Amino acid sequence: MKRNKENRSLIVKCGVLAFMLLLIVFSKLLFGRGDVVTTAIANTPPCWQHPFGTDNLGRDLLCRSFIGLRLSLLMAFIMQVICLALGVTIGTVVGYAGGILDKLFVFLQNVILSFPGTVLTLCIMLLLGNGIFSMIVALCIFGWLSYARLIRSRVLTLRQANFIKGEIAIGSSLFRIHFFHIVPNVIRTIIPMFTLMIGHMVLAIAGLSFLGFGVQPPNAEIGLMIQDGMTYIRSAPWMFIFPGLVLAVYSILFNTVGDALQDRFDPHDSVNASKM
Amino acid sequence: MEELLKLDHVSTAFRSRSGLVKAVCDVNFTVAPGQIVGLVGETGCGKSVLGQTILRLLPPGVEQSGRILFQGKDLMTMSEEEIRAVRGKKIAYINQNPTEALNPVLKIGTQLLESLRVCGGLRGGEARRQALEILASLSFDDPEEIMNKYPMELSGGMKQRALTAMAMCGKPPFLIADEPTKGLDALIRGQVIESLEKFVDFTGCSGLIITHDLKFARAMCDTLALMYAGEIVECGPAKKLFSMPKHPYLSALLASMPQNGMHVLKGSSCSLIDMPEGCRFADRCPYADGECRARHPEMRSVGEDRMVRCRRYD
Repeated sequence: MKRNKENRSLIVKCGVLAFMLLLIVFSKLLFGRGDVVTTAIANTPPCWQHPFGTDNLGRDLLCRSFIGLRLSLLMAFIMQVICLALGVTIGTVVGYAGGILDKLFVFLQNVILSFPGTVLTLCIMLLLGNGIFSMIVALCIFGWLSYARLIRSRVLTLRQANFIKGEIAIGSSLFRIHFFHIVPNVIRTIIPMFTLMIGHMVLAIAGLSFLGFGVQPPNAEIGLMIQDGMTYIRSAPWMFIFPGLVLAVYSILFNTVGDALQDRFDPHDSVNASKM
Repeated sequence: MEELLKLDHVSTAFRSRSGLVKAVCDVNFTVAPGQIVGLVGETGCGKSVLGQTILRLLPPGVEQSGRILFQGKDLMTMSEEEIRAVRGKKIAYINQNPTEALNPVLKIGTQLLESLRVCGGLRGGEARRQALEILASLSFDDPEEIMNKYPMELSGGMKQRALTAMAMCGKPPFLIADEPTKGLDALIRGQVIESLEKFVDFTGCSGLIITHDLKFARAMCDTLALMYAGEIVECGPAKKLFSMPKHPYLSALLASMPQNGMHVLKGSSCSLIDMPEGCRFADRCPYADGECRARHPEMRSVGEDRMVRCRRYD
């Protein structure tokens, strides 16, 4: 019974997220006309024509928020795919190989984790210069690590598991054991993590753009728009309120869905649930 | 008599911070075709380690010596490729602790079909038919439904039977079952005995059954080998061992069974790191004297088909 209810709420959450993602994908079609400079209507407060108002150059904020978010999401997705590929490969290899390779990994992990994340990212951005590409590189340097750590620890525990021993005992090859038994065990931890991390990445991109790194004007980007809005915080507060709200709504949505997926997928939790 | 499996001076030791843990010391025994041998002994005496040594399932870095001849070939010196061809197809292994021995995120059917594919080379519809047949032979009421269940949806006894089903896939001539009745109640123990007997019927195999459950061992096995602190202290036909125990440890074990009054054997097994010079059971043995503590006893024949490691039978 409880399971059904949980499933339903998960479906609803995923549905909402899917709808919101569709909004973003088709944002150009839906509200694409607004992204032009029309100084005549600069600083219009929210009205029927422009629900989020317009900025100091007369561009529609609703349109720009969604277009900006589309860029962030696309970047976040690309970054996560890169991180996932890197992290899973490295985590698996290190987890199986053990020995000196594993020690090296742990050392590297400690080194990277000992830097405050934002500062390191900013340093890398300074070295590589501003722009979308260098932002992807800078954020990936951190991102892969969380996957690799997760996969490594799962491989280490699963390697000892009795069912893996049983699998060896029926004469399976290492390759088969990995793809048939380890990967399905890990994938359930990765899917929620992927969702959660996209939310984090969108925030990180907005943060970097807010600080003037990353996405450069005249491209629309939420962090950039909030930064623009700071100048007009008294005369046109809608310039930072609405983009901020859109960002908040989407990151909350990703986090909620990520959490819900975690509850649903994590085998440890489902084992506990079956005992209750 | 031609033997199927012959263990020749097999020893296994683990390195640990406090020294070498000699889990199995100089074990010799043979299993003839069609024979079921029971390996009994208390927890920590090296039974399971011995079972895993045979199939080389222990983690790398474990020190193993001796020869394990299976159908005349030495499993110890085989290459990884060769031993993989033996595992599951020639020698099946039923893991202890069925709850952990099944992959929690795959359906029983998926795991069973995989065993069939790896061990029997079957796939598709044929594999499915075979899987259903195996499950039905192990008295699962609704094999179709079991195939679609996750391990956590099954009871302990069902999981044990599911594991047995997986081991049956390769129709192996030899079976190693590690503690198949651990943590199961009397009723389910009956089911396990039944399922293992079906296994033997189905595959016509011989086997090594590792257990600390004496009643179960008596019901299943032709021959018993009793282990204590890493070595075999007594072996012989199961019935004779139960009716006429020779080694004081076996007498003590039998006396500790509920129907014999549950007399507790005092003390605990000696450390596997610092072995005593003499008999390993001496500290708990009511008959032990100075000679026992000074010299390590050898296995000696008593009667035509029994061996015992105790100097009282010199």
